[in-house]
Amino acid sequence: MIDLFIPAVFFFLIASAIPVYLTGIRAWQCCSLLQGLAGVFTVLASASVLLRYTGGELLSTSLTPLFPVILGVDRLTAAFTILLGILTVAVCCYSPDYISRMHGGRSRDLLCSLIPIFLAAMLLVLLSRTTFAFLLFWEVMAISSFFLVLIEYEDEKTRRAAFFYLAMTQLSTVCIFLAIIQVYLATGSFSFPAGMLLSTLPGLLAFLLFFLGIAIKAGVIPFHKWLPYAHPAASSPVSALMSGMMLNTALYMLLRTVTGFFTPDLSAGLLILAFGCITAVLGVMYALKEDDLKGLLAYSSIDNTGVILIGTGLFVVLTATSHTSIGTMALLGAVFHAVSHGLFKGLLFLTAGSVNQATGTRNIDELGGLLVRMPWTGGLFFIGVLAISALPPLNGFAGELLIYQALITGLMQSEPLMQVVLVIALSLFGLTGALTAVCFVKAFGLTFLALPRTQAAKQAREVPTLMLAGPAILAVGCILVGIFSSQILGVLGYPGYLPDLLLISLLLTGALGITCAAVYTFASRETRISITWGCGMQDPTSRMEYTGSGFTEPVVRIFAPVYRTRISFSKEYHDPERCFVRTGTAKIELMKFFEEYLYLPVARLIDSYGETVSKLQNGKVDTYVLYVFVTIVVLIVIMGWLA
Amino acid sequence: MSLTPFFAGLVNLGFVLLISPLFMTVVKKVKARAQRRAGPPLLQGYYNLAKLFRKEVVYSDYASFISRIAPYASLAILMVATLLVPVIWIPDAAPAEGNIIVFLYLLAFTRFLLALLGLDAGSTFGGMGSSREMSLSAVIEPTTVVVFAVMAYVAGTLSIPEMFRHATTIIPGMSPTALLLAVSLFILIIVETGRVPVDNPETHLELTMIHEGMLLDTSGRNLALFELSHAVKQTLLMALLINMLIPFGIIQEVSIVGLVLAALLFLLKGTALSVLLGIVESSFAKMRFFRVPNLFMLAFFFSALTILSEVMI
Repeated sequence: MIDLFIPAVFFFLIASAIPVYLTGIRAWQCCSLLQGLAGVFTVLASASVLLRYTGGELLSTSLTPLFPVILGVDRLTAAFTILLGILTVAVCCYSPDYISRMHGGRSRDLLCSLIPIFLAAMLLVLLSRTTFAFLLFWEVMAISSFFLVLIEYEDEKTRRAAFFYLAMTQLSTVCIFLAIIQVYLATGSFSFPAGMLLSTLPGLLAFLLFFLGIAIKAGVIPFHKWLPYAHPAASSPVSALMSGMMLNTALYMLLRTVTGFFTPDLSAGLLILAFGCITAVLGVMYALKEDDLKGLLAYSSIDNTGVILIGTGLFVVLTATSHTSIGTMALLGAVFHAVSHGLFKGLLFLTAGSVNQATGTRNIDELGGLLVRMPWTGGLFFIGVLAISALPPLNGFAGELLIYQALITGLMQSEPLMQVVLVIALSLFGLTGALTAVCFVKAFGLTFLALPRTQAAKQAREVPTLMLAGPAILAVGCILVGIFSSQILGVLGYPGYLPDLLLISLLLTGALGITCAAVYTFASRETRISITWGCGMQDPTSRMEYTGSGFTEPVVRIFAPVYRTRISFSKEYHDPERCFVRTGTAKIELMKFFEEYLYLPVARLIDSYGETVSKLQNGKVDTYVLYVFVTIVVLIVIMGWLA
Repeated sequence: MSLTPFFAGLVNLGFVLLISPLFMTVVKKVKARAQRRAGPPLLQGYYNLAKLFRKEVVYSDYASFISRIAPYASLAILMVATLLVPVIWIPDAAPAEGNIIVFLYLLAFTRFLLALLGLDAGSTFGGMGSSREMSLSAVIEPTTVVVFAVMAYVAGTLSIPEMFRHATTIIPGMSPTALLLAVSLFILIIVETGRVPVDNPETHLELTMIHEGMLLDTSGRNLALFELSHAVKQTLLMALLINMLIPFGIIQEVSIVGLVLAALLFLLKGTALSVLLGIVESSFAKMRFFRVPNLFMLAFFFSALTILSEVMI
C-alpha cells in the first residue's frame, strides 16, 4: 500500500515545479489539479491501509548508509494521511480563485509552488520510519511553511509574524534534534526507538526534548505565542493547512512517542494532561477575546491542541495504571478529535478567507449581516461552527464524547488520588467545551447575523462556486464523520466505543419533520416581516447591536484573574469641584501575560548576552588572530592537563 | 428487535409533552400565592400555547434562516433528548444508549440555537440576552459535567436509563450520596431553567433578563414552540432529579395499570418539586449577575462532596 503514496508525492513535486514554466491563472489551475490528484491518491492509499491492514510494508532508501530514510505506513499514520488527502483536495478546489483575487504579482506563483512542497513534506513526516527521515522532512516542512507565511511580505506585521514563527519553529527543531541525538546515543540507531524507559536518564531526557519540540510546534501554552501571529498572517489556504494539518503532524508525533517510543509512564501522562488542561482552557479563553476572525480561529486551534493533549495524557495515565481499555478509548478520542479538528478548522479557515476577500476585513466588529449576503459561505461556516462547538451529531462531538467517556469511566475505576486529578481535568474539559460554544456563537453571530456594521460588509458578494466547493467537501466530511462515527470505529475494529449517533441524527430529522408538519397543520400559517422592535425606537441601526467585546464582557469579568485586564481612564472636568465631566477616555487592555513574563525576559537575556559578546568583535584582523592564538593555547593546556 | 423500547420512548415523549406546561403553571401559581395573589388557573400554560399557536409570526427584516429554523429545531432536539431520559417507563434500550453526555450536549445545542436567535434580529436586548446566557452556561458547565459524572459514578454507568434502574434498587432517602446529589441537581435546575436567583422568568426589564431577552423578537407559533421547549427542558431536568432520588413507581415492564400509576405518581412528585421551585423562587431575591458564579461553586462543592462520600463508603 505504501506504493500508492509514491505517485502522490510525485504529483506534489511536479505541481510545485509548474509555476516555473507557466504563470497566471493557468499555472494555479494546473498546480491545483495535480495537487488534487495527489490528494485523491493519498486518500485512496490511506483508506486501503485503514480498511485492510496488511502491515510491515516499508520502503527504504538511504542518502548514505549512515542516514537511512525509511518510509512506512500503519493505521495511525493512515488516519492522519487520509485527513491530509481530504484537506489537499479541498484546498485545491479553493485556491485558484482565491489566489487570482489576491494582491501581489509573482509571489502568488511562489505561493502556488510552495503549497505542494509543504504538503509533500507533511505527508513524508507522517510516513517517516526513522528519526533521521523524520528530522529531515520536519525541517523541510518548517522552512516551507515559513516562506508560506511570508508570502505577503509587504506588510510589516506579516514579516514580524513570519520571523517570530521561524525562531520558534527552529527552536522546536533544535529540541527534536537533541532528542534524536539522545535516542541515537541510547540505542545506537536511527530507527524509531521502542519501549524506552522513562526511569532512565537518557529516556527521560529524550522524552522531555521530544515533548518540548512537539509542544512548540503544536502551539501548547506557554509555547504558543507564534501561532496567533503566524496563522492570521498567512493566506487562508495556508492557514487552513497549517492549522488543520501541521499542528496535527506534531500531535501525530506525540502519539507515536507515547504509543511506541516510550513505555507509558504515570508522571509523563500527568505532565501531558496538565499541559493539555492549561492549553485547552487558556486557548479558548484567549480565542473568546479575539476580534480578528482568523486570530480567533488560531487561538481556537490552540484550544483543540489542548483537547487532543488531554486525550493523549489520559491514555498514558490510564495505561500506566493498567486500565488499558479505557486508555484505548482516550487514545481513540485523541486521534478522532485530531482528524475532526483538521476537517472543521480547515473548513472554518477557508470560509473565513472567503469572508475576508469579500469584505476586505477580518475584524468581527466591522462585519455582520453576511448570512443574507453570502448564504452559502455562511451556511458552510455554520456547519463548521456546529462541529467545533461539539454539538451532536457532528464530528467534533464524537471525539469529545470519547474523551468524556474515558474521563468518567476512568473516574469510576481509579484510586482516590487519581480521582481528584480526573475530576479537575473533567471540569476543565467541560469548561473548555462550554467556552468554545460561547466563542463560536460570537464568531458566527456577530459576523453573519443581524445588520452589517460597515459599508464593506454591506456590499459583500458571494464568492465563486469553486471557492465554495472546497469548504463544502470539508463540511460534508464533518457531517458524515460525525453521523457515522460509531460505524467508522466499528469498521476499524473498535466497535462499541461510541453510542450510535446515526440513530440520533435520524431521530433529530424525524422529530424536526414531525414538529414542522404538526405546526404547519395545526397552527396559524400567517407570517409578517417587520422591523426589529427597539423599545419604540424606529429603524434600529448597526450601532445599537452588540459588539464583539460587549458580547464577551461577562466572561472576561467573571474570569478576570485569568485575563488580567487593565482598566485605565482619565477624565477632564468643566468645574474645579469635579462635578461636570467635559471629556474623558477609558481603555480596557488585556495584559499579554506570557509575552510579558516569559518571552520578553528570555528575549532580553539573549539581547544582553549578544551585546556582551559583540564587545569582543571590533572588526580588526589582528584581534581575531589574537583570539585564535589564545584559544589554541588554552586548548593545548587543557589537553595536556587532561592527558 | 422488540418494539417495547419504541413504545416506551413514545409513551415517555407524549407524557412529557403533555404535562410540561402544567409544571410551569404550578410554579407561577405558587409564586402568585406567596405574593397573596390568586394566580393563573392550572391550565393557563395550555391556554397560552393554544393562543400563541393561533397567532401570526412576525420576523425582523434582518432575520436570517436561523430565526426560521431555530424554534422547530429547538423542540425537535428536546424531543430527542426526552427519549434519553425515561420519565415513567424505563425501556430496555434507548437511543445512543441513553448516554448522559449526549443528553448534556443536546441541551447545549438548544442553548446554542437560542443564543444565535438572540443575535439574529440585531436588537440590543437579544444580544444582551445571548451574551449573558452563554456566559452563564460556560460557568455552570464544569459543575454540570461533574454532577453528571457523579451520577454516572454512583450508578456505575453512563446510561441514564441504567442510572434510574440502579436508583430503584436503593431505598429512597437512605443514601447520603443521593441527597447530596439532589442538592446539586436542584441548583442545576434553577440555573438551566432560568429561575430566580439566577434569572427572572417574569421580567422584561433589560437589567435583569437573560432568557426572555433572547426571545423578545419571537412571536406567534415560534414563541409557542420555544415556551414548550423550555417547559420540556424543565420537566426533563426535574425527571433527572426525581428518578435519581425517589424513583418508586417508575415501571420497567409493560403493564397498563403500572403505567397509569407511574404517570400519576410522577405528576404528584413533579408537582411537589414545582411547588418547591416556586417557594425557592419567591423566597430569594435575584442575584447580581456577577454573583451567580458563587452559586455554581456551591453546586460544584456538593457534587465533589458526593464523590468523596461515595469513596469513603
